[in-house]
Amino acid sequence: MTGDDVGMTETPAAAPAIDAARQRLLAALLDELVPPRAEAALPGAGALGLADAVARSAAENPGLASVLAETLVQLAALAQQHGGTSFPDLDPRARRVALDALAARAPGSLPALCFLTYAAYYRDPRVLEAIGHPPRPPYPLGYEVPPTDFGLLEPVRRRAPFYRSV
Amino acid sequence: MADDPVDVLIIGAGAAGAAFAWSLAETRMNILCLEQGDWMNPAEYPTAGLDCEARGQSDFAFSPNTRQRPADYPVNDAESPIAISNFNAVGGSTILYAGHFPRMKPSDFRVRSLDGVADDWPLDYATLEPYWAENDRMMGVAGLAGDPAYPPKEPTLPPVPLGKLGETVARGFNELGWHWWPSDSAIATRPYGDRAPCINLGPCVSGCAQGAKASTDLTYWPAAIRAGVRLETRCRVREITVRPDGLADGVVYYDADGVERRQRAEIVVLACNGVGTPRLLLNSRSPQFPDGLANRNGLVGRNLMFHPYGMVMGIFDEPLDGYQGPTGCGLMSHEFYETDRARGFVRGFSYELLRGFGPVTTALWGLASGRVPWGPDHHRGFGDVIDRMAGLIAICEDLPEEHNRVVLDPELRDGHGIPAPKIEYQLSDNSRRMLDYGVARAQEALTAAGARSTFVEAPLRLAGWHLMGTARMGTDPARSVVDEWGRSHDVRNLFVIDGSVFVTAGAVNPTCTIQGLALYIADRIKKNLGNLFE
Repeated sequence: MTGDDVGMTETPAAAPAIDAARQRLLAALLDELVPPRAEAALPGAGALGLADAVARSAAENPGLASVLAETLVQLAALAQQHGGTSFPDLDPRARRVALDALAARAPGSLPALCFLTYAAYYRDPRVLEAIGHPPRPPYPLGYEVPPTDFGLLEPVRRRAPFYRSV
Repeated sequence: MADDPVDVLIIGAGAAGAAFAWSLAETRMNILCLEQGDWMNPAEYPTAGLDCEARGQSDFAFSPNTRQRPADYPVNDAESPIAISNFNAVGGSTILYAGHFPRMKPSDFRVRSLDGVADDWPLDYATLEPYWAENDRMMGVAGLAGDPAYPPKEPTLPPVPLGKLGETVARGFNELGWHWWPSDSAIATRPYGDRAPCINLGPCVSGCAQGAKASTDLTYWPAAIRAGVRLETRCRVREITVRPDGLADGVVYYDADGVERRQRAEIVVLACNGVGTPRLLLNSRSPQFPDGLANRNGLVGRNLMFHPYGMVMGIFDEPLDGYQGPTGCGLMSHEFYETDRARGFVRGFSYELLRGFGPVTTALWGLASGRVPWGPDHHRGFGDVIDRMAGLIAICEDLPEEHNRVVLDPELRDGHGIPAPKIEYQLSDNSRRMLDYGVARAQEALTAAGARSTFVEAPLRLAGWHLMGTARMGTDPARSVVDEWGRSHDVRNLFVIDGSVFVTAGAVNPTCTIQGLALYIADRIKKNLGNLFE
């Protein structure tokens, strides 16, 4: 696999941003970055189907697009090196070894992909519901904030004016 | 548009340009405003979508260098510890501002007399008071009367609710015996004119889809246009031109199609903010003004002041519902506003409450700070901070220093090939000490409120919202660019009405004072129409 192989493909909007093999690799990586959350019955970010959204976000920024492309190349190579197979087919321990090696080789790559992954994950309605946030945009319903008891201000009201007179 | 001369040409349709245009409209003069941005459509603001937080990092980012909308011009702020934040549209930066709307204080206009630093203003608090009040009425300002930190004033609307988060932080201030007060907020807490009431969407700083926040596209501009002012959008001014006698006679600009145009005018008014105004003046070179228009004393662009921000986030054990309610409007504290030399610096700072972040911002902040790692500990780290953060911003008074300035970048150009601004700015020792002090006290306040840990960023880099001082006002032509009512000392029919004219910065958000000054200058022009150029 080369850097050119994993570059963003120019496709119509409805088509995946990257091909199926890279989608599978990226999904496995996303599951490591944001793993399943058992108590909320939430799968990892990859199993939630966010690989395409992450790839599309990356494609909007030339710098991030090249980071994603290069990361997938390196991860594929490291999986072969450490486990003799593709990254998605590695056991959890071998996946971690490959990721640690990637983090050592390209320290900025995983934080950059985390940026994209977190941004996609925490706006997904399934995730918002699981963390107790309304699974909808703020507008148009907004939020109800209870009226404030300004009795809290009583100690301040007792102060004499303290602005500096001129 | 034909090149028919107009009586008054305003450049910039933001906070100042809108207020000025509305006020001057009653003269029935022929008034035109050229704005490089376009009208915004509130229905397209980020809070209408689930991707609202992410869009705050892209097409609604604070930095024009990140946003890169067609209306934006680049700013070289790479060497400054504080980066420029702005917005270019009808409404200007009021589209993205938090709406925090406190007035400056009486002492802010007398810093030389009181503290022996910088310069006194050529006007005072009492002079501006009626213009602040008129501006409050036009913008619709929520607040609470009776604040002992101010001379008496009457807000037009009830205060923004504090919510659980604000009440928690307020108790911390009470515990320490420190001043706090509900923020003066340019937010309609009740239906106000044509504006719908606030429904607590959260991130006011990416535009208010509800239309409750007082951006001037919703407040002043509809009234000004009804009164006869013409507003042309997507028109970027390249330079102001002058007659042989040195008076301004109009501008050269690029229209919405990119075609170079000329517009003649009897009076030219600059309202492009503390970076855009000096940029345009410095780009307006002529045989009469080889160093830039109105710049015979070399002060155009100098004395740039920000408000260095010290941000302290506290992490609490209980959920605080902080994603609900206006981001930057809740409470303010002026406990440390006035000079106390025992603190190790002159002048002072205010605090502004920062409500919590939404899930995406929380996760990204946690990523940057190491609190929300990737991998097996991700959910534990996220659960530890989501909806459990409250913040305080120390808004520090910067003092004017001539070496802090806006210049023209020798290489960087905007989309029309016009030289872009470059920021040369260093944080002074006084501002540094003030920031350190403000951060330490904020940590105390948040701890008293129940925070189990705090996180500090100071100075906050992406906080160069308040752009002041680069065409300062004064009575001495050797030490100021414009006189006490905004008129250039060098060019008698050229006025500056934005934050550039500030002599000092105060320690509060400047928009309400920028607009008060714009109304004051418009009033002075109206009263002196007969001898305006003498």
